[in-house]
Amino acid sequence: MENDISLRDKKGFKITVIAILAMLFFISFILGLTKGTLEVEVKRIFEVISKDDGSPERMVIWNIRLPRMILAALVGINLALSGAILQGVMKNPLADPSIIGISSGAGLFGIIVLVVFPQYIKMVTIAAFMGAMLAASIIYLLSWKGGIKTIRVVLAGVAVSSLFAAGISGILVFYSDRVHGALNFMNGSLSSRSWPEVWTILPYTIIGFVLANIFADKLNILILGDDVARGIGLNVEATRFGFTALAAFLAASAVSVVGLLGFVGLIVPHSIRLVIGNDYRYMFPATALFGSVLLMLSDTFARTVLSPMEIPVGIVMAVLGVPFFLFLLRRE
Amino acid sequence: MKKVKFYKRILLPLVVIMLIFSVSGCTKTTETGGLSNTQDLPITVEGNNYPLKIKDFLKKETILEKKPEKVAVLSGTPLNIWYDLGGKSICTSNITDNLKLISEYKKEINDLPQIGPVYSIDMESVVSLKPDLIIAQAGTQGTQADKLRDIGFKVITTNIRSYDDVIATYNAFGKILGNEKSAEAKIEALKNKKEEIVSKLPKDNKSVVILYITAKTIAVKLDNSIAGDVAKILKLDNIASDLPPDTIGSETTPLDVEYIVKKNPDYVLVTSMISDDEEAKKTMEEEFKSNPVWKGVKAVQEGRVIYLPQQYFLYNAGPYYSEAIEYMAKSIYPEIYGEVTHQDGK
Amino acid sequence: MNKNIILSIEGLSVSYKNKDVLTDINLQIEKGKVYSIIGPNGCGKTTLIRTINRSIKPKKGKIFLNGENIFKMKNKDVAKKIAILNQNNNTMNDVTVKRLVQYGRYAYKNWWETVDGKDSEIVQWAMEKTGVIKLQNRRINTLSGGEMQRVWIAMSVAQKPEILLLDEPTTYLDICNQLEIMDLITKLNKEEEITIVMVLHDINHAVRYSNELIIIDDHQYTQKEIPGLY
Repeated sequence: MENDISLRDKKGFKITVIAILAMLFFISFILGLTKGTLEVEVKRIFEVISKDDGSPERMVIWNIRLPRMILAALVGINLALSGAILQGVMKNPLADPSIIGISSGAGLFGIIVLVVFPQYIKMVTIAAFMGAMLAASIIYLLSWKGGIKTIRVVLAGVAVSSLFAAGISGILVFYSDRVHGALNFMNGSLSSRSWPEVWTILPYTIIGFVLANIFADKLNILILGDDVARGIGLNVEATRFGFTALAAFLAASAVSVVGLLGFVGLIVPHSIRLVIGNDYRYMFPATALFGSVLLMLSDTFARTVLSPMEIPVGIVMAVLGVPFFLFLLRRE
Repeated sequence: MKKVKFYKRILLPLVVIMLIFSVSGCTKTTETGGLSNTQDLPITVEGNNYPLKIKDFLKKETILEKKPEKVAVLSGTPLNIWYDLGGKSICTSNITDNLKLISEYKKEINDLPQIGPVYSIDMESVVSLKPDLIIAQAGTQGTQADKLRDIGFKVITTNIRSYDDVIATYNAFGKILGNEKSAEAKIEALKNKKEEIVSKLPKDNKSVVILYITAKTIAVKLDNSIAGDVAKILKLDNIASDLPPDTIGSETTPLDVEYIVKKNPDYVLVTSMISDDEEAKKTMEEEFKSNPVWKGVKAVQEGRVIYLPQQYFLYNAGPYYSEAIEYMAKSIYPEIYGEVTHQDGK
Repeated sequence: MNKNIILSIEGLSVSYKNKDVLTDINLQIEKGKVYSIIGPNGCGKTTLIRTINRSIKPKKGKIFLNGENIFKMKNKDVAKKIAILNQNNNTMNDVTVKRLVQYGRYAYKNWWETVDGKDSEIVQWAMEKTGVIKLQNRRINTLSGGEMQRVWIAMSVAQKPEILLLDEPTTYLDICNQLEIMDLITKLNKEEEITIVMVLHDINHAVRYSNELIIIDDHQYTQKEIPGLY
């Protein structure tokens, strides 16, 4: 009776889950490297990574698959962490980066460059990033009234996102002969991404992951409730702002390189919470690992199932989202 | 509160997805109707004299009692062919630089009232001009064509992508204009030019991939695109030949770059959305240089990249279709056909 | 004559959701005493507590803690002196009791510091004092109402505050638990010399367990001493 701890609480359990996820991480990474139009054996993978022998496997692995898998992992980490943070800060287990306008902001500005100024294609990433941060800032300012209330953020988010979405539709109508190119961006895709995209997102992932884990306890206290947190001495407004900004950067950097990839920020942290609980000191690493695993596996699937054609990975995620929502529905 | 959030989470993504699909659905039409079958002609005319029965691309039948006097041709390529056969139009869609108009009629055509861009014409303008016959483009103007028919106008829809489509259209328009002789002559000229080019082809076929790059996504053009058709005429092996299109009637499909590396085509032909050919070339060269995925494609690394000008390969050149064939032939086999000279009159 | 005033509320006017809830409140809270705030629903009892906790900013007036204006103090400095037990505690969190009580030490740590030996001692002591030591490894959302109230109080105690604010600490408990909590509060006041300011809905409890009553009704308030407490 004294040690009446449920399984979920044993520290050992949480660590085991994280260890399992770490293993899955390596397995999915290696798996993704072996699969494709060129099947490469595991042993060969290590050979061509360590040495440039000019073989076709080296060409493909080094320039195409390796950066792509790394990118999938990084994007998975960013989006999952962002969702986990927002679900805590907004006290809403179904929040995700789109709630602070990241998707609509990145979408509008990205589409403007893609469709209206296709000759400036190099600017898409920057434009999308700026659009995302702009939307998030507008939403935050709109919902500020001596402090932030979650409901105001939601309402502001809906208003801004609707406006931006209307903008996107408007552009697509005016340039309806160019919609084709926009669709991949709207769904999220890792097609033909390589090292440049990796270097773009990497600093955000590293800084974001480190900061999130250092300050995990602040978020733990925040979700005890604003009044309680304040009573213990937490600067509630600063903590909320800081974490929201962190979530915004993580998500914005991800969608700017792969497009509007949804569902990861929602499914991953929510699932992890069901298994491991709310303690962010464990939640963050677990969520990051699961996010990357999910995305790596999904992208490998998207590339290989209809080879040599590619499905945008965002569509695979959307399809996965449906059974997930049904599962949630059953649990209600 | 939770339930409301939940519905928002389902409805919103569903709606967005539906939005995307519906948008893509109605705009796929730019590229619809590549060559359906070689058996089905895109346009046929029954009868040798008026009254004529015309069966158009969307399989609608139109009966013309007599030769129409006021004809509205709503898009560039059929307009070109129409004028080439002595026809006149009372209006035109917006003329872009990329449409190669027959020089004889260029000024005349430019002076015509313009009724908006091809994919978004002003129906009221068309209606107020009270044409006897409307010739619309099946892909982008299909719904408008139906509406105009409902109002009571006679409407024919065309779809001109391939060489065979061009021939069929010349035949059909020739009959409608009562100018069969001219049509036959033009067709003969096109055929002769084509056969002249084909006869000089070397024995070994080269392989190609026709890229349509938009925003970092690699799609390839299939055989039913203009570029694909020209490539087929030149007996080039399109590595994407037997791939299915991304939607019904589309002429493109998304492609994993690894496949291109594996198939190692001799030439990479490039098309894009960028309207200015110079800009397009610059942008593409930048992409090839900065994106490591192209390191595995030998054609790119060794400079065997050909940038296809929009006026021949995105828009159907109609009367100048043989020049499109010549352009590609020269690009790939300059030793046989000579170097490509850059076109003026843009 | 020389009362030791720990909390001084001067000219406090607070509106909440565009309504004037409190108007020109002046209160002097003496160190070591037990104060109960009573009054009909909606008269502003919770608003007063939440304003002292700085969750609400007053329209007019000041609150001084040991002579310092609490709205100008740093959060952690206030937290070392004032702890609060809120009325509705719906939390998403599912940490263990021990971890929750540890959070009470937040004000004493810098962000790079973790819980050290001294903190652990205080946490253990707080849990013993409030009788929840046996529950320390339980998840907080598996506790009963009475147990949870004790745990929240344990967390507040770990803050080693000089004042403990309680907003309706017994409202949702059965009679047995109510008395236990009231006894605990009294114990904390006597043994640890913590000044208590609590909102109660039960006048009997208020009279029985307090030194002074603060009665708020229809924008009027009265402060009344109760002689001969235990």
